[in-house]
Amino acid sequence: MTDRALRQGEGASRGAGEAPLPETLAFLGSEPRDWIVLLKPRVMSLVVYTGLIGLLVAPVPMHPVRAAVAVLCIALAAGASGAINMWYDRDIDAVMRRTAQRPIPTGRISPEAALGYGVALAVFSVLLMGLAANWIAALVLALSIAFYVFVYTIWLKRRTPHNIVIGGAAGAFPPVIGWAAATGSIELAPIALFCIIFFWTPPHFWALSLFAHADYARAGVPMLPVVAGARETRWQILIYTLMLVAVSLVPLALGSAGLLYALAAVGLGCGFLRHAVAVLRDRQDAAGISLTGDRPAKAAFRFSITYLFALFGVLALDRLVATAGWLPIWS
Amino acid sequence: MVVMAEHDPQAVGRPESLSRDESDALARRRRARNRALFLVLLGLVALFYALTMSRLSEIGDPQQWSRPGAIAPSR
Repeated sequence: MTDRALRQGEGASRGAGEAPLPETLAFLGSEPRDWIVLLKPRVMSLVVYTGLIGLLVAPVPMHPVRAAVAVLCIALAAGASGAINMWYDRDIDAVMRRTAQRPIPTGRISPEAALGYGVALAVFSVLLMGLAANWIAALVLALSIAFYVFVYTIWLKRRTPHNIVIGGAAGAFPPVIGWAAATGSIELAPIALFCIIFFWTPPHFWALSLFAHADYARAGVPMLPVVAGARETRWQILIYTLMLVAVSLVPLALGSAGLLYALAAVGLGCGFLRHAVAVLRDRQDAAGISLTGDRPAKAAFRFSITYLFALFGVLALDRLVATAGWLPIWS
Repeated sequence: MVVMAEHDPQAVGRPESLSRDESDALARRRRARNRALFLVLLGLVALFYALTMSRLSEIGDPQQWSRPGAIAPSR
């Protein structure tokens, strides 16, 4: 029998939706991929991307090797935060369908090992950032890890429906870190990028929580649809999307972006607004629960990812074009 | 005489006897972890080598180190 077959047997013995049983085949220990899963690679990709854009749009060029190491540090720090988050949230992960197969709830990695791994990676990433780039960037990196672990994971996540609003700041740090790594300073331009991610986070996660609210309710996480209802959440998505579109124009006012970015910000903003309105006008019952299987919310969630990738990508392209002298930067 | 057994965290929850499949899977996972650790260590060596080289390239021409205010001591 192959390792995969054993693993399938392990999964089958638990049954879908049940709390996993650590005593099944947990004694086999972890596989390397379990340690990668602990780093939340999907979340990491967005963090790395926005950090890289922060580094690229900075006016000071950076040695390519040191730039690559700085991006690696951002990735490791995000992964470390994810590992510590999985250690702290192991009880709710075990009861949520989406997270029940993670390495800690299944017993493939012990909670203590996950915590040690996360803390070691966090310390290593901060020290490496200090050595490779500068200590300002290292300080902001340390702050972002501390914010995600202590403010979001430990303090806000289980206490308030506004967990995503304030906790979203943790995911908004990477462009500031990238900029600081290149320049050794923090200016208004990276703070504008911080604000874009900050206002992007609530509609992104609330769209997700509209169609995954049963999971959050089962785990006792006070996400907005669970606490305030689906109807209120739909309104909040629209309000935050409006604020996001307004904030996305700030780089133009600061003179750190040009025509290309302006076109993209307006076009993508209109697209996001259209999705937010569709979520609001979705066919629903008296409680605001969707009668269409939350199709508009799923579409809005998918679009929100495209939105951020495209907006930041165009910002980097815009900077490249302006540096090459093809188009002027508005100032 | 009492012999203190070495603590093995992976032994927690392990049945007293393993089937051949389970024993093979256990060995396979252990090998995979060892290989991954080796690659991580190799990566760290490469990382610090590249970082040192990039730092050195910024210091500039070693022939110029004897000028006043240079980073390295004059030879």
